[in-house]
Amino acid sequence: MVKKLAVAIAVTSGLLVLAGFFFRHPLLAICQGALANWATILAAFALLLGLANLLSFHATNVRGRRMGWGYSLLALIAALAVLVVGFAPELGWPGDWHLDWVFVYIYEPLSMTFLALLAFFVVSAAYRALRLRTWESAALVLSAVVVIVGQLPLGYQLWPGLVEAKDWLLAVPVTAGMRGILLGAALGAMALGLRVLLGLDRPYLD
Amino acid sequence: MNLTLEQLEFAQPEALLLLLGLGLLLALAWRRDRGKGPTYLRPIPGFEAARKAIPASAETGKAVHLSAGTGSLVAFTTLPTLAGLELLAPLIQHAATLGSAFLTTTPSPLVMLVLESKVRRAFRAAGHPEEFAPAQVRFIGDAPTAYAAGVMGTLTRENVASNVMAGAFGDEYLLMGETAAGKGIEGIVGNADPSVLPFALASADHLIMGEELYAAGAYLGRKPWHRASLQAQDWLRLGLVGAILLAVLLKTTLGVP
Repeated sequence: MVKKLAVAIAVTSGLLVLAGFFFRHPLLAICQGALANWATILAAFALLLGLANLLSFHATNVRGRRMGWGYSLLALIAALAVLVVGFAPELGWPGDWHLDWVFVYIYEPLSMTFLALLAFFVVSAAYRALRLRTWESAALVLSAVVVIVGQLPLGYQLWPGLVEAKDWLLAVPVTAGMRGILLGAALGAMALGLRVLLGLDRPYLD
Repeated sequence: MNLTLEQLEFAQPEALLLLLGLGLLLALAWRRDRGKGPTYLRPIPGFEAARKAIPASAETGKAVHLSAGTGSLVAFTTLPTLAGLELLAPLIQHAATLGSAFLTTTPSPLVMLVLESKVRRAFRAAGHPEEFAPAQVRFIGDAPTAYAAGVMGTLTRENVASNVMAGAFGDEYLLMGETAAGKGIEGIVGNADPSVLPFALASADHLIMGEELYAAGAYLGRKPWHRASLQAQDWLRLGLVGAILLAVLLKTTLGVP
């Protein structure tokens, strides 16, 4: 009974929002806005539950001295510190710059540094791809060489045809392949969306 | 506020037509499938590998890491995330039945709630609800980079045999994929984003790409509506390809704009 009620709510809400995309009416706009706001509020409460899950997991690690418990302790300290800083205005600290400072001077640089590792991981992934030893890896190597050398000014100096080959490769087979993937994925996504909206599929529940 | 029917306007009729067309094809495929039996499904190695990863984990005693991607259920990444959840659900059920060790991670608290519900239900259906451990469902940060860092740590420190990741990913996938590949962990990745697929192809052992991700329900869950849906997609795809070819022909030969 509860499951049927949940599905009924999900289907009704989904169809209302979908109808709002295809039919413009002030009543539908009001319903869409209300549902979107409720979803945002639910997501915010879910974030509290996520925080509880995170704190509980790391606290268990620290208590049990499991492998990597030092990192768990750091994670706990960082989470609680940012939580306290977030309450700075309520705690009577002067100004309201504290949380912004943490994100601008600690979180963002750490995040960018981490993403900078991608450069090295791309190299190791490319090396692994080139070792595949199949006709696919041969095609990958050949197209990679053409595109990389064709992008460089040196490519044009070596042979102008290389630049044309690079342009053709990117404009024709690569674009065609991407569009084919996107077309198939779009149809799959549409079918999944339709099944979920009609209640035939319940990946959020089953 | 004065609300009347005269205020009703139509928008995006072509998209509505396409959606209604797909719905009609879905209904037709469902009727056809019920009469003639299961539709043929071409083998997809990624799904076979995902299916085999669970009993392999039971034999070796190592865990399987399951992830529904870095997307959420209240953003434009909702559909790939739901597709990832459809792929993970039968694996979670299988693991609970066999007693294989597994852990799920997610950067979305809403997905965390869904995963926890699925894991609890799986153990209940397998007859041992007491086997559920809260540590099997982990919320790791709210940002893709933080999530990637957490997963890298999990794959490095914990005894993981297979890494199944299906859903929406960005560039941060490569950090996790390469870590798994470097540790010799079998990687099974499902993704529909063309900008991430090259990374997945290079670092994963098995790739479920593009529309195959949305077919997980038919391959792993074996639900009849999913098979009918695949048939409907095939019909619609043939129709669209035919329309594109016809348009190309008309434009190039007859000069029709």
